[in-house]
Amino acid sequence: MRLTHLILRNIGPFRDPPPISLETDKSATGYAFFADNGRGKTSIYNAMRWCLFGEVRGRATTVKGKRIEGSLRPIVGDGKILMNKDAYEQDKVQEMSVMLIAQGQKGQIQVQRTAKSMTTLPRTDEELSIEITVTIGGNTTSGKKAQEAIETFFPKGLERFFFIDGEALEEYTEMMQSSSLDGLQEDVNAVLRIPALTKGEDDLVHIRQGIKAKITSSNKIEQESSLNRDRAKTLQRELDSALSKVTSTEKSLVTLRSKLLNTNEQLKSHQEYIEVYKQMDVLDIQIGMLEAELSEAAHEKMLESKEAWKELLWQKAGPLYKTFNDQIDEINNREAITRSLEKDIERDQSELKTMDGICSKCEQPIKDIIIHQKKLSKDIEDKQHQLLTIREGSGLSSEHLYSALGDLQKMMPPQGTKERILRAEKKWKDRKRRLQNNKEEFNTLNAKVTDEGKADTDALRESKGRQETLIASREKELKLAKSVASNMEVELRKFNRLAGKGSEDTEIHSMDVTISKLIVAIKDTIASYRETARKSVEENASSVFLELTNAKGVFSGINLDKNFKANIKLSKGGFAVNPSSGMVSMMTISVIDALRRVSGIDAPVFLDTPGRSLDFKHKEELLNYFWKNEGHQFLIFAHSGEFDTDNTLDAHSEQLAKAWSLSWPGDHRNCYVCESENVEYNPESKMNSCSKCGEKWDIRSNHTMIRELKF
Amino acid sequence: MTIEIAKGSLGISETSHALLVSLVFDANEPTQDRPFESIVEAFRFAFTYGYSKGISSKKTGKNVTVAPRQFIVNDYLELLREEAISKQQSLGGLISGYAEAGCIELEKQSLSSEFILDLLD
Repeated sequence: MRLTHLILRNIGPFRDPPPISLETDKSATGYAFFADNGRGKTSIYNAMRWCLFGEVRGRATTVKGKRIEGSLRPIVGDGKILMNKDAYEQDKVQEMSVMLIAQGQKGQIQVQRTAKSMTTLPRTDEELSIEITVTIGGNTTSGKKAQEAIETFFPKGLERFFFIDGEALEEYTEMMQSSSLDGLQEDVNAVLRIPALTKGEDDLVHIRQGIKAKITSSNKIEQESSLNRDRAKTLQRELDSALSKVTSTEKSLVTLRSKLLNTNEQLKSHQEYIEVYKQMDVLDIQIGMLEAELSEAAHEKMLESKEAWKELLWQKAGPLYKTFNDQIDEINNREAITRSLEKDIERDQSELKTMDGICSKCEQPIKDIIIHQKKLSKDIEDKQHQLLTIREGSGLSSEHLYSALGDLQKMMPPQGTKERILRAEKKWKDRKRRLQNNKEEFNTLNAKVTDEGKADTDALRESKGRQETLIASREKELKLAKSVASNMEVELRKFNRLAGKGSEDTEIHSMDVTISKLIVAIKDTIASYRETARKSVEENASSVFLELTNAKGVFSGINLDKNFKANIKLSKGGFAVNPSSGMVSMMTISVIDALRRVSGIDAPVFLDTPGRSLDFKHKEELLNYFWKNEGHQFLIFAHSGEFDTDNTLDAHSEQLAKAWSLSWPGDHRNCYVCESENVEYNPESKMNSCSKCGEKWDIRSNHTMIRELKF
Repeated sequence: MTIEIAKGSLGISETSHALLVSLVFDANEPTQDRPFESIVEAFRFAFTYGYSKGISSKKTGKNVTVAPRQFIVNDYLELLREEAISKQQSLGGLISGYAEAGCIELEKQSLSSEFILDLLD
């Protein structure tokens, strides 16, 4: 894959720069971006990572040989964000996009990723809509399918071998020199596409676990089945016994029914007696019922009789009660008359005493007072006599009479007593009569049968009764025995069904063996593959290292042990002890590039700050190695202090295809367009203007300009 | 002046007592005419029957007493006051006489295959 264009919009310090074209007529494959700090070297590097993989992470760290991923760089929000600050803070709709255009084996590749705000001012990346489209040879995909398409030509797992951070070389080195090498092993696994195999192995292990579980379950079922078979055997014996009982009871019933039939036949010859017995039976039942009713009636009669004496006694007590009542009335009348007379006497006496010529009754003047006084005295005398007569005539006292009335009242029969008693009596008589009649009738019937006939019939009837009782009992037993047997049959079927489940599943055992073999095969393949890869990486790394080192006679290459621990091999044998930092960096780059080569991926290599910790000679060797034109594009993003722009361009003009400088307008004293020195500064507008070409620029702007360098 | 009326005791002849016993309810003999719950109840019926008919009889033979606690003679004082005063007899004596006569009538009723309670009719 050969990168041809890069179009940035609102990312890092880039607002809307013109497309960066990597196309050239030259066959050279080296590309370089030179810039001071903050001008966007790393932003271009990150822009391509974001475009391809949808995320930019901070530098990874190694803890005890284990690689810890860097934190995710946000597109928007606070702090160090990917989106251009002005675009984020000033634009109405925040939008950041990167487009990569390349030429691949299947034709042109175009990848565009865009982040667009869904709200007025998004605070987090969740408020952005991210879209990606990938076109390969005219076929366009988007979303998840687009990401999958990128994996076909630029797998994310190999990102580290193509996007090399010079500042992170130390971490790589530490990883390679550590004896605990999970990090590098992961890299090796990624290069070898081992994760796919490992995933296959994991899948198989998972399947095998399932099979094992089934086998365990099957074993359990087999154990249970064995138990159920034992239970079924026991139950079968019990069922046989129950069925035997059913058969024997049925036989017994047949015999009994036959006997009963015979008894009934014999009873037919005693038909005359039978009829009598039938009537006697009916009577016997009736007699029993009547006896019960008679007992009840007798008791009822006794209860009602408790008041019978009152009915009798009241015949005499009743009139006396009335007499006493009348006497009380009379006493009451006498008392009323007495009170009236006493009042009259008192009034007359008072009038007589205070005689004033006015009648006390009519309040009229009295004509003859003396006559009136005489008359009044006579009246008083008469009334006193009358009062005496009344008092002398009184008999029993009212208190005595009331007490006597109370005593007599206790003898008063409640209303309807007699009727109730007679009704109870009648009922008792009726039951008694009916009972007597029935008994007589029973005795009459009983007298009809002869002693001999009666004895025979009785014996037969008794026999019949016994047989009928036995049959009823046997029928009950048979019903129960059948029910028990039926329940047992159900249980037995259940146990037989459960017992049958335990048959050994040979297929599943066979599958377990096969999968087990497959897992071993995959493990062996991975081990063999990894060993082959180790050798290949070791050979490639040695080759690269020997090209990069400036002491070629001293070293014979790089050694990678079984755990991928890297060491520099000395020509005289053994490993370099305490190699220089530049040497170690070379070793690291050699191993990384060897891994890239072994991966077989045809993609450009991006190296950010490549000269860090390298001396001049090693830097030169590095550029010579990567820019030696083996077909892969190699882009460096170099700091001005790291690589002198002019010297580098002069020294590597044959290896370089294109080079750019990244700068802010304020960085230029001369016109950055025509390089004229006639530049005027306007302090009011803070603008520079070129007198020669007329270009104007704001010296305060921190929007990076991309300027292709000529060499 | 208040005339004291003696209470006296209750008693009937042995024959009458036997009759009264035969008239006491027996759950095992529902066919027999035994309408009274206890011997006192039977005695009370005999007394009231004799009194209502105005017949009294002197007992002959051995005397059998009737439990005084269950038959309170004073309950019948007002009814028998005049008679007790006039005949100068105790209440118990008067009641026993009427009861004895009543028993004779009840026995006659039984002997003639009639029922005791029919005497009410």
